[in-house]
Amino acid sequence: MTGIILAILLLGGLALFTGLLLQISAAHFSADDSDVINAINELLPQSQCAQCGFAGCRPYAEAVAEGESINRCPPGGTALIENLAGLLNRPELPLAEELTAIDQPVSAVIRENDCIGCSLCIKACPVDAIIGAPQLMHTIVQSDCTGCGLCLPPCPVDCIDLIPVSHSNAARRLPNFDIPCIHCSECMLACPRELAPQQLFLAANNAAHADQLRLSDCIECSLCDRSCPSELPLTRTFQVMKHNNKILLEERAMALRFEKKYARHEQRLAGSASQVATRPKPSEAEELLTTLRNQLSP
Amino acid sequence: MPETLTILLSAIFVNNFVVVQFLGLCPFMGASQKMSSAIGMAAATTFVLTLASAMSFLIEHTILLPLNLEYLRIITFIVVIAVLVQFTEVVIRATQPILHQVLGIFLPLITTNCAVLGVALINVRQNQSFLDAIILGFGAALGFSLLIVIFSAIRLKQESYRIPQPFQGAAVNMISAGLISLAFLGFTGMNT
Repeated sequence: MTGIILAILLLGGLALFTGLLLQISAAHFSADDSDVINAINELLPQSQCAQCGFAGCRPYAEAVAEGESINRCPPGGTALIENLAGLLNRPELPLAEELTAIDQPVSAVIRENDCIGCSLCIKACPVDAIIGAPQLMHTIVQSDCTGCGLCLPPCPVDCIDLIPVSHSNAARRLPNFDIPCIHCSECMLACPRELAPQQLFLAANNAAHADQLRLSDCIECSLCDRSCPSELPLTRTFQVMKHNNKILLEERAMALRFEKKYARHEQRLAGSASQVATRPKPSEAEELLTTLRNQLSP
Repeated sequence: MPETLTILLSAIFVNNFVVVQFLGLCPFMGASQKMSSAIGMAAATTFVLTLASAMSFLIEHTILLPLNLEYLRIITFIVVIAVLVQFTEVVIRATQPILHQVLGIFLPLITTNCAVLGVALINVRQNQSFLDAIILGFGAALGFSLLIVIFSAIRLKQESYRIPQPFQGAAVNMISAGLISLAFLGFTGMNT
Protein backbone atom coordinates (compact mmCIF):
# COMPACT_ATOMS: atom_id res chain seq x y z
CA MET A 1 0.00 0.00 0.00
CA THR A 2 2.78 2.44 0.91
CA GLY A 3 4.41 1.59 -2.40
CA ILE A 4 1.39 2.79 -4.33
CA ILE A 5 1.13 5.97 -2.29
CA LEU A 6 4.85 6.61 -2.79
CA ALA A 7 4.48 6.05 -6.54
CA ILE A 8 1.53 8.44 -6.76
CA LEU A 9 3.36 11.02 -4.67
CA LEU A 10 6.52 10.68 -6.78
CA LEU A 11 4.81 11.03 -10.15
CA GLY A 12 2.45 13.78 -8.97
CA GLY A 13 5.31 15.71 -7.37
CA LEU A 14 7.48 15.32 -10.45
CA ALA A 15 4.66 16.52 -12.73
CA LEU A 16 3.88 19.49 -10.48
CA PHE A 17 7.51 20.52 -10.11
CA THR A 18 8.38 20.22 -13.81
CA GLY A 19 5.12 21.91 -14.84
CA LEU A 20 5.95 24.89 -12.64
CA LEU A 21 9.45 24.97 -14.09
CA LEU A 22 8.08 25.01 -17.64
CA GLN A 23 5.59 27.76 -16.83
CA ILE A 24 8.34 29.93 -15.41
CA SER A 25 10.58 29.36 -18.41
CA ALA A 26 7.73 30.05 -20.85
CA ALA A 27 7.02 33.34 -19.09
CA HIS A 28 10.71 34.19 -19.14
CA PHE A 29 11.29 33.48 -22.86
CA SER A 30 8.46 35.13 -24.74
CA ALA A 31 7.81 33.90 -28.27
CA ASP A 32 8.41 36.34 -31.09
CA ASP A 33 7.44 35.35 -34.63
CA SER A 34 8.33 38.63 -36.37
CA ASP A 35 11.59 37.22 -37.83
CA VAL A 36 9.68 34.33 -39.42
CA ILE A 37 7.00 36.67 -40.78
CA ASN A 38 9.64 38.97 -42.26
CA ALA A 39 11.48 36.06 -43.87
CA ILE A 40 8.23 34.80 -45.45
CA ASN A 41 7.15 38.30 -46.47
CA GLU A 42 10.48 38.82 -48.26
CA LEU A 43 9.75 35.84 -50.51
CA LEU A 44 6.23 36.95 -51.45
CA PRO A 45 5.83 38.93 -54.70
CA GLN A 46 4.13 41.87 -52.93
CA SER A 47 1.55 42.27 -55.69
CA GLN A 48 -1.07 42.76 -52.92
CA CYS A 49 -3.64 41.00 -55.13
CA ALA A 50 -5.47 39.40 -52.16
CA GLN A 51 -6.16 36.24 -54.18
CA CYS A 52 -4.90 34.21 -51.22
CA GLY A 53 -7.92 35.40 -49.25
CA PHE A 54 -5.96 37.77 -47.03
CA ALA A 55 -5.89 41.56 -47.26
CA GLY A 56 -2.34 41.71 -48.60
CA CYS A 57 1.01 40.01 -48.72
CA ARG A 58 2.01 40.69 -45.13
CA PRO A 59 -1.23 39.35 -43.63
CA TYR A 60 -0.69 36.20 -45.72
CA ALA A 61 2.90 35.94 -44.43
CA GLU A 62 1.55 36.18 -40.87
CA ALA A 63 -1.00 33.46 -41.64
CA VAL A 64 1.68 31.19 -43.16
CA ALA A 65 3.81 31.58 -40.04
CA GLU A 66 0.77 30.43 -38.06
CA GLY A 67 0.35 27.35 -40.26
CA GLU A 68 -1.70 28.47 -43.30
CA SER A 69 -0.86 26.42 -46.42
CA ILE A 70 1.97 27.76 -48.61
CA ASN A 71 0.19 27.21 -51.94
CA ARG A 72 -2.20 30.16 -52.01
CA CYS A 73 -0.20 32.72 -54.00
CA PRO A 74 -0.85 32.63 -57.78
CA PRO A 75 1.55 35.49 -58.68
CA GLY A 76 4.39 33.72 -56.86
CA GLY A 77 3.70 30.50 -58.75
CA THR A 78 5.62 27.26 -58.27
CA ALA A 79 8.90 29.09 -57.66
CA LEU A 80 7.45 30.73 -54.55
CA ILE A 81 6.01 27.44 -53.29
CA GLU A 82 9.45 25.82 -53.69
CA ASN A 83 11.12 28.68 -51.83
CA LEU A 84 8.59 28.66 -49.00
CA ALA A 85 8.82 24.87 -48.70
CA GLY A 86 12.58 25.22 -48.44
CA LEU A 87 12.40 28.00 -45.87
CA LEU A 88 9.83 26.33 -43.64
CA ASN A 89 10.76 22.70 -44.29
CA ARG A 90 7.23 21.84 -45.43
CA PRO A 91 6.28 19.58 -48.35
CA GLU A 92 5.84 21.22 -51.75
CA LEU A 93 2.21 21.39 -52.89
CA PRO A 94 0.57 22.28 -56.19
CA LEU A 95 -1.28 25.61 -56.26
CA ALA A 96 -4.58 25.48 -54.32
CA GLU A 97 -7.40 24.18 -56.52
CA GLU A 98 -9.74 27.15 -56.28
CA LEU A 99 -7.01 29.53 -57.49
CA THR A 100 -5.95 29.92 -61.13
CA ALA A 101 -2.27 29.90 -61.95
CA ILE A 102 -0.80 32.93 -63.74
CA ASP A 103 1.25 31.60 -66.65
CA GLN A 104 3.08 34.80 -67.41
CA PRO A 105 3.30 38.22 -65.80
CA VAL A 106 0.48 40.58 -66.79
CA SER A 107 -0.11 44.27 -66.46
CA ALA A 108 -3.38 46.24 -66.54
CA VAL A 109 -3.98 48.76 -69.31
CA ILE A 110 -6.92 51.22 -69.60
CA ARG A 111 -8.52 51.64 -73.05
CA GLU A 112 -8.44 55.37 -72.71
CA ASN A 113 -11.11 56.10 -75.34
CA ASP A 114 -13.69 54.17 -73.31
CA CYS A 115 -12.78 55.57 -69.88
CA ILE A 116 -15.55 57.73 -68.40
CA GLY A 117 -13.46 59.09 -65.55
CA CYS A 118 -15.45 57.58 -62.71
CA SER A 119 -12.28 57.16 -60.58
CA LEU A 120 -13.54 53.89 -59.07
CA CYS A 121 -10.40 52.03 -60.19
CA ILE A 122 -8.15 54.55 -58.47
CA LYS A 123 -9.59 53.58 -55.10
CA ALA A 124 -9.25 49.88 -55.89
CA CYS A 125 -5.56 49.97 -56.84
CA PRO A 126 -3.50 48.72 -53.87
CA VAL A 127 -0.24 50.32 -55.01
CA ASP A 128 -1.56 53.66 -56.37
CA ALA A 129 -0.46 52.88 -59.93
CA ILE A 130 -3.49 54.61 -61.52
CA ILE A 131 -3.40 58.34 -62.05
CA GLY A 132 -6.35 60.53 -63.01
CA ALA A 133 -9.11 62.60 -61.46
CA PRO A 134 -12.94 62.44 -61.43
CA GLN A 135 -14.45 63.30 -64.83
CA LEU A 136 -11.01 63.04 -66.43
CA MET A 137 -9.43 60.13 -68.26
CA HIS A 138 -7.30 57.75 -66.14
CA THR A 139 -4.17 55.88 -67.05
CA ILE A 140 -2.00 53.23 -65.40
CA VAL A 141 1.70 53.75 -64.77
CA GLN A 142 3.02 50.52 -66.27
CA SER A 143 6.18 50.33 -64.14
CA ASP A 144 4.06 50.47 -60.97
CA CYS A 145 1.38 47.96 -61.98
CA THR A 146 1.59 44.59 -60.20
CA GLY A 147 -0.99 42.97 -62.49
CA CYS A 148 -3.21 42.05 -59.54
CA GLY A 149 -6.45 42.71 -61.49
CA LEU A 150 -8.20 44.38 -58.54
CA CYS A 151 -9.14 47.37 -60.72
CA LEU A 152 -11.15 45.22 -63.16
CA PRO A 153 -14.29 44.47 -61.12
CA PRO A 154 -15.11 48.08 -60.08
CA CYS A 155 -14.87 49.47 -63.65
CA PRO A 156 -18.46 50.17 -64.82
CA VAL A 157 -17.57 50.19 -68.54
CA ASP A 158 -15.02 47.35 -68.54
CA CYS A 159 -12.34 49.44 -70.17
CA ILE A 160 -9.39 47.78 -68.36
CA ASP A 161 -7.54 44.83 -69.92
CA LEU A 162 -4.85 42.56 -68.49
CA ILE A 163 -2.09 42.37 -71.09
CA PRO A 164 0.89 39.97 -70.89
CA VAL A 165 4.17 41.73 -70.23
CA SER A 166 6.88 41.04 -72.81
CA HIS A 167 8.79 37.87 -72.03
CA SER A 168 12.36 39.04 -72.66
CA ASN A 169 13.09 39.14 -68.96
CA ALA A 170 11.96 35.62 -68.10
CA ALA A 171 14.18 33.25 -66.13
CA ARG A 172 16.14 30.86 -68.35
CA ARG A 173 16.52 27.14 -67.89
CA LEU A 174 19.84 25.59 -66.91
CA PRO A 175 21.43 23.61 -69.76
CA ASN A 176 21.23 19.82 -69.73
CA PHE A 177 24.28 17.57 -69.63
CA ASP A 178 24.93 13.83 -70.05
CA ILE A 179 27.79 12.96 -67.71
CA PRO A 180 27.75 14.34 -64.15
CA CYS A 181 30.64 16.23 -62.58
CA ILE A 182 33.32 13.76 -61.41
CA HIS A 183 35.02 16.31 -59.12
CA CYS A 184 38.39 16.06 -60.88
CA SER A 185 38.94 19.83 -60.33
CA GLU A 186 40.67 20.26 -63.67
CA CYS A 187 38.50 23.37 -64.18
CA MET A 188 39.85 24.88 -60.98
CA LEU A 189 43.37 24.76 -62.41
CA ALA A 190 42.19 26.21 -65.71
CA CYS A 191 40.22 29.17 -64.29
CA PRO A 192 42.13 32.45 -64.77
CA ARG A 193 40.11 34.14 -61.99
CA GLU A 194 40.93 31.36 -59.50
CA LEU A 195 37.28 30.42 -59.01
CA ALA A 196 36.04 26.91 -58.25
CA PRO A 197 33.89 26.14 -61.31
CA GLN A 198 32.95 22.63 -60.15
CA GLN A 199 31.54 24.01 -56.89
CA LEU A 200 29.78 26.84 -58.70
CA PHE A 201 28.25 24.25 -61.02
CA LEU A 202 26.86 22.31 -58.07
CA ALA A 203 25.48 25.54 -56.59
CA ALA A 204 23.40 26.17 -59.73
CA ASN A 205 20.14 26.19 -57.77
CA ASN A 206 21.46 28.02 -54.74
CA ALA A 207 21.95 31.73 -55.41
CA ALA A 208 23.33 32.52 -51.96
CA HIS A 209 25.96 29.80 -52.17
CA ALA A 210 26.91 30.83 -55.71
CA ASP A 211 27.38 34.36 -54.44
CA GLN A 212 29.75 33.10 -51.74
CA LEU A 213 31.74 31.32 -54.46
CA ARG A 214 32.08 34.67 -56.31
CA LEU A 215 29.88 33.89 -59.31
CA SER A 216 30.04 37.53 -60.37
CA ASP A 217 33.83 37.24 -60.81
CA CYS A 218 33.40 34.74 -63.67
CA ILE A 219 34.46 36.37 -66.95
CA GLU A 220 32.87 33.60 -69.07
CA CYS A 221 36.16 32.85 -70.81
CA SER A 222 35.10 29.16 -71.31
CA LEU A 223 38.55 27.83 -70.36
CA CYS A 224 36.81 25.56 -67.82
CA ASP A 225 34.61 24.11 -70.57
CA ARG A 226 37.68 23.09 -72.53
CA SER A 227 39.40 21.49 -69.55
CA CYS A 228 36.34 19.47 -68.42
CA PRO A 229 36.63 15.71 -69.15
CA SER A 230 32.83 15.31 -68.70
CA GLU A 231 32.27 18.11 -71.23
CA LEU A 232 29.90 19.88 -68.86
CA PRO A 233 28.29 23.11 -70.16
CA LEU A 234 29.99 25.13 -67.41
CA THR A 235 30.14 28.57 -69.00
CA ARG A 236 26.58 28.37 -70.30
CA THR A 237 25.40 27.34 -66.83
CA PHE A 238 27.18 30.32 -65.29
CA GLN A 239 25.61 32.65 -67.86
CA VAL A 240 22.14 31.36 -67.01
CA MET A 241 22.88 31.61 -63.30
CA LYS A 242 23.99 35.22 -63.64
CA HIS A 243 20.93 36.07 -65.74
CA ASN A 244 18.54 34.43 -63.28
CA ASN A 245 20.23 36.08 -60.32
CA LYS A 246 19.84 39.46 -61.99
CA ILE A 247 16.12 38.83 -62.55
CA LEU A 248 15.73 37.70 -58.97
CA LEU A 249 17.36 40.89 -57.71
CA GLU A 250 15.14 43.02 -59.95
CA GLU A 251 12.05 41.19 -58.71
CA ARG A 252 13.13 41.74 -55.11
CA ALA A 253 13.62 45.47 -55.75
CA MET A 254 10.17 45.67 -57.39
CA ALA A 255 8.56 43.78 -54.52
CA LEU A 256 10.14 46.15 -52.01
CA ARG A 257 8.79 49.14 -53.93
CA PHE A 258 5.30 47.61 -54.17
CA GLU A 259 5.35 46.87 -50.46
CA LYS A 260 6.20 50.49 -49.62
CA LYS A 261 3.56 51.85 -51.99
CA TYR A 262 0.95 49.52 -50.50
CA ALA A 263 1.86 50.65 -46.97
CA ARG A 264 1.47 54.29 -48.02
CA HIS A 265 -1.84 53.51 -49.71
CA GLU A 266 -3.19 51.83 -46.58
CA GLN A 267 -1.96 54.68 -44.41
CA ARG A 268 -3.65 57.26 -46.61
CA LEU A 269 -6.95 55.35 -46.65
CA ALA A 270 -6.87 55.01 -42.86
CA GLY A 271 -6.12 58.73 -42.55
CA SER A 272 -9.01 59.81 -44.75
CA ALA A 273 -11.36 57.35 -43.01
CA SER A 274 -10.52 58.82 -39.61
CA GLN A 275 -11.04 62.33 -40.98
CA VAL A 276 -14.48 61.35 -42.22
CA ALA A 277 -15.30 59.78 -38.87
CA THR A 278 -14.35 62.87 -36.84
CA ARG A 279 -16.08 65.32 -39.18
CA PRO A 280 -19.17 66.95 -37.46
CA LYS A 281 -22.42 65.32 -38.63
CA PRO A 282 -25.16 67.42 -40.34
CA SER A 283 -27.66 66.75 -37.51
CA GLU A 284 -25.13 67.90 -34.92
CA ALA A 285 -24.48 71.05 -36.96
CA GLU A 286 -28.23 71.81 -37.01
CA GLU A 287 -28.46 71.43 -33.23
CA LEU A 288 -25.40 73.62 -32.74
CA LEU A 289 -26.94 76.32 -34.95
CA THR A 290 -30.29 76.27 -33.15
CA THR A 291 -28.64 76.49 -29.72
CA LEU A 292 -26.52 79.40 -30.94
CA ARG A 293 -29.61 81.16 -32.35
CA ASN A 294 -31.47 80.64 -29.09
CA GLN A 295 -28.58 82.11 -27.14
CA LEU A 296 -28.34 85.14 -29.44
CA SER A 297 -32.04 85.97 -29.63
CA PRO A 298 -33.26 87.20 -26.24
CA MET B 1 41.04 9.41 -17.67
CA PRO B 2 41.53 6.77 -20.37
CA GLU B 3 38.30 4.97 -19.45
CA THR B 4 36.22 8.11 -19.80
CA LEU B 5 37.80 8.75 -23.18
CA THR B 6 37.04 5.18 -24.21
CA ILE B 7 33.38 5.63 -23.27
CA LEU B 8 33.18 8.90 -25.20
CA LEU B 9 34.90 7.63 -28.35
CA SER B 10 33.05 4.33 -28.37
CA ALA B 11 29.72 6.15 -28.04
CA ILE B 12 30.62 8.39 -30.98
CA PHE B 13 32.17 5.88 -33.38
CA VAL B 14 32.07 2.22 -32.34
CA ASN B 15 28.57 2.03 -30.86
CA ASN B 16 27.16 4.99 -32.74
CA PHE B 17 23.52 5.22 -31.75
CA VAL B 18 22.23 6.03 -35.21
CA VAL B 19 24.02 3.79 -37.66
CA VAL B 20 25.21 0.94 -35.43
CA GLN B 21 22.40 0.61 -32.88
CA PHE B 22 19.73 2.13 -35.17
CA LEU B 23 18.21 4.43 -32.57
CA GLY B 24 16.86 7.88 -33.42
CA LEU B 25 16.43 7.37 -37.15
CA CYS B 26 13.33 9.57 -37.37
CA PRO B 27 14.98 12.98 -36.86
CA PHE B 28 18.04 11.66 -38.71
CA MET B 29 15.90 11.29 -41.84
CA GLY B 30 13.46 14.12 -41.20
CA ALA B 31 15.63 17.06 -40.20
CA SER B 32 18.57 16.62 -42.54
CA GLN B 33 17.29 18.33 -45.71
CA LYS B 34 19.32 21.42 -45.00
CA MET B 35 22.62 21.91 -43.22
CA SER B 36 21.14 24.66 -41.02
CA SER B 37 18.25 22.50 -39.81
CA ALA B 38 20.61 19.54 -39.29
CA ILE B 39 22.91 21.64 -37.10
CA GLY B 40 19.93 23.02 -35.18
CA MET B 41 18.58 19.53 -34.62
CA ALA B 42 22.03 18.30 -33.57
CA ALA B 43 22.40 21.12 -31.04
CA ALA B 44 18.90 20.57 -29.61
CA THR B 45 19.42 16.81 -29.33
CA THR B 46 22.86 17.26 -27.74
CA PHE B 47 21.37 19.53 -25.09
CA VAL B 48 18.46 17.21 -24.37
CA LEU B 49 20.47 13.98 -24.43
CA THR B 50 23.25 15.19 -22.14
CA LEU B 51 20.89 16.70 -19.59
CA ALA B 52 18.47 13.78 -19.80
CA SER B 53 21.18 11.24 -19.06
CA ALA B 54 22.36 13.29 -16.06
CA MET B 55 18.84 13.88 -14.70
CA SER B 56 17.70 10.29 -15.20
CA PHE B 57 20.83 9.03 -13.44
CA LEU B 58 20.16 11.33 -10.48
CA ILE B 59 16.49 10.33 -10.29
CA GLU B 60 17.34 6.64 -10.55
CA HIS B 61 19.92 6.74 -7.75
CA THR B 62 18.35 9.26 -5.37
CA ILE B 63 14.65 8.47 -5.70
CA LEU B 64 13.79 5.27 -7.52
CA LEU B 65 16.36 2.86 -6.01
CA PRO B 66 16.03 3.96 -2.34
CA LEU B 67 12.23 3.85 -2.54
CA ASN B 68 12.11 0.53 -4.45
CA LEU B 69 10.19 2.13 -7.30
CA GLU B 70 12.26 0.70 -10.19
CA TYR B 71 9.06 -0.25 -12.02
CA LEU B 72 8.34 3.48 -12.52
CA ARG B 73 11.68 3.94 -14.29
CA ILE B 74 10.47 4.29 -17.87
CA ILE B 75 7.55 6.61 -17.18
CA THR B 76 9.65 8.86 -14.92
CA PHE B 77 12.41 9.08 -17.51
CA ILE B 78 9.88 9.93 -20.21
CA VAL B 79 8.46 12.74 -18.06
CA VAL B 80 11.95 14.13 -17.50
CA ILE B 81 12.82 13.92 -21.19
CA ALA B 82 9.53 15.52 -22.23
CA VAL B 83 10.13 18.43 -19.86
CA LEU B 84 13.64 18.97 -21.18
CA VAL B 85 12.38 18.89 -24.76
CA GLN B 86 9.60 21.34 -23.96
CA PHE B 87 12.11 23.65 -22.31
CA THR B 88 14.37 23.44 -25.38
CA GLU B 89 11.43 24.25 -27.62
CA VAL B 90 10.51 27.31 -25.56
CA VAL B 91 14.09 28.57 -25.70
CA ILE B 92 14.51 27.91 -29.45
CA ARG B 93 11.18 29.54 -30.22
CA ALA B 94 12.22 32.68 -28.38
CA THR B 95 15.78 32.91 -29.69
CA GLN B 96 15.71 31.26 -33.16
CA PRO B 97 12.16 31.61 -34.56
CA ILE B 98 13.14 30.56 -38.09
CA LEU B 99 14.91 27.44 -36.85
CA HIS B 100 11.80 26.70 -34.79
CA GLN B 101 9.69 26.87 -37.96
CA VAL B 102 12.14 24.72 -39.93
CA LEU B 103 12.38 21.99 -37.29
CA GLY B 104 8.60 22.09 -36.84
CA ILE B 105 7.24 18.82 -35.51
CA PHE B 106 10.71 17.25 -35.23
CA LEU B 107 11.50 19.40 -32.20
CA PRO B 108 8.76 17.99 -29.92
CA LEU B 109 9.49 14.60 -31.46
CA ILE B 110 12.89 14.54 -29.73
CA THR B 111 10.79 13.25 -26.81
CA THR B 112 10.14 10.08 -28.75
CA ASN B 113 13.67 9.92 -30.12
CA CYS B 114 14.50 6.45 -28.85
CA ALA B 115 18.18 7.37 -28.59
CA VAL B 116 17.37 9.67 -25.67
CA LEU B 117 15.42 7.11 -23.66
CA GLY B 118 17.82 4.42 -24.87
CA VAL B 119 20.86 6.18 -23.40
CA ALA B 120 19.06 6.77 -20.09
CA LEU B 121 18.12 3.09 -19.83
CA ILE B 122 21.58 1.87 -20.92
CA ASN B 123 23.11 4.04 -18.18
CA VAL B 124 20.97 2.26 -15.61
CA ARG B 125 21.70 -1.18 -17.02
CA GLN B 126 25.48 -0.70 -17.05
CA ASN B 127 25.64 0.55 -13.43
CA GLN B 128 28.00 3.37 -14.31
CA SER B 129 29.18 6.31 -12.22
CA PHE B 130 27.52 9.71 -12.59
CA LEU B 131 30.37 11.12 -14.68
CA ASP B 132 30.38 8.09 -16.97
CA ALA B 133 26.62 8.44 -17.45
CA ILE B 134 26.98 12.06 -18.55
CA ILE B 135 29.92 11.18 -20.81
CA LEU B 136 27.94 8.39 -22.45
CA GLY B 137 24.99 10.73 -23.05
CA PHE B 138 27.25 13.44 -24.44
CA GLY B 139 29.11 10.93 -26.62
CA ALA B 140 25.84 9.54 -27.99
CA ALA B 141 24.70 13.09 -28.75
CA LEU B 142 27.98 13.90 -30.50
CA GLY B 143 27.66 10.71 -32.53
CA PHE B 144 24.12 11.70 -33.52
CA SER B 145 25.28 15.23 -34.42
CA LEU B 146 28.17 13.89 -36.49
CA LEU B 147 25.89 11.55 -38.40
CA ILE B 148 23.13 14.07 -39.08
CA VAL B 149 25.66 16.63 -40.36
CA ILE B 150 27.37 14.04 -42.59
CA PHE B 151 23.99 12.89 -43.89
CA SER B 152 22.79 16.40 -44.62
CA ALA B 153 26.03 17.12 -46.53
CA ILE B 154 25.44 13.99 -48.60
CA ARG B 155 21.84 15.04 -49.27
CA LEU B 156 23.03 18.49 -50.32
CA LYS B 157 25.35 16.87 -52.85
CA GLN B 158 22.63 14.52 -54.06
CA GLU B 159 20.63 17.50 -55.26
CA SER B 160 23.04 18.00 -58.15
CA TYR B 161 23.01 14.34 -59.21
CA ARG B 162 20.49 12.87 -61.53
CA ILE B 163 18.99 9.99 -59.57
CA PRO B 164 16.89 7.42 -61.47
CA GLN B 165 13.16 7.88 -60.91
CA PRO B 166 12.54 4.75 -58.76
CA PHE B 167 15.34 5.72 -56.37
CA GLN B 168 14.37 9.32 -55.82
CA GLY B 169 13.37 10.61 -52.40
CA ALA B 170 13.29 8.25 -49.45
CA ALA B 171 14.83 5.31 -51.35
CA VAL B 172 18.16 6.95 -52.08
CA ASN B 173 18.25 8.36 -48.54
CA MET B 174 17.84 4.88 -47.10
CA ILE B 175 20.59 3.56 -49.37
CA SER B 176 22.98 6.37 -48.39
CA ALA B 177 22.20 5.83 -44.71
CA GLY B 178 22.92 2.12 -45.18
CA LEU B 179 26.27 2.91 -46.81
CA ILE B 180 27.22 5.22 -43.94
CA SER B 181 26.25 2.44 -41.55
CA LEU B 182 28.52 0.01 -43.42
CA ALA B 183 31.36 2.51 -43.17
CA PHE B 184 30.83 2.88 -39.42
CA LEU B 185 30.86 -0.90 -38.99
CA GLY B 186 34.54 -0.55 -39.83
CA PHE B 187 35.07 0.83 -36.31
CA THR B 188 33.85 -2.43 -34.70
CA GLY B 189 36.58 -4.09 -32.65
CA MET B 190 38.26 -0.81 -31.72
CA ASN B 191 36.52 -1.08 -28.36
CA THR B 192 39.53 -2.43 -26.47
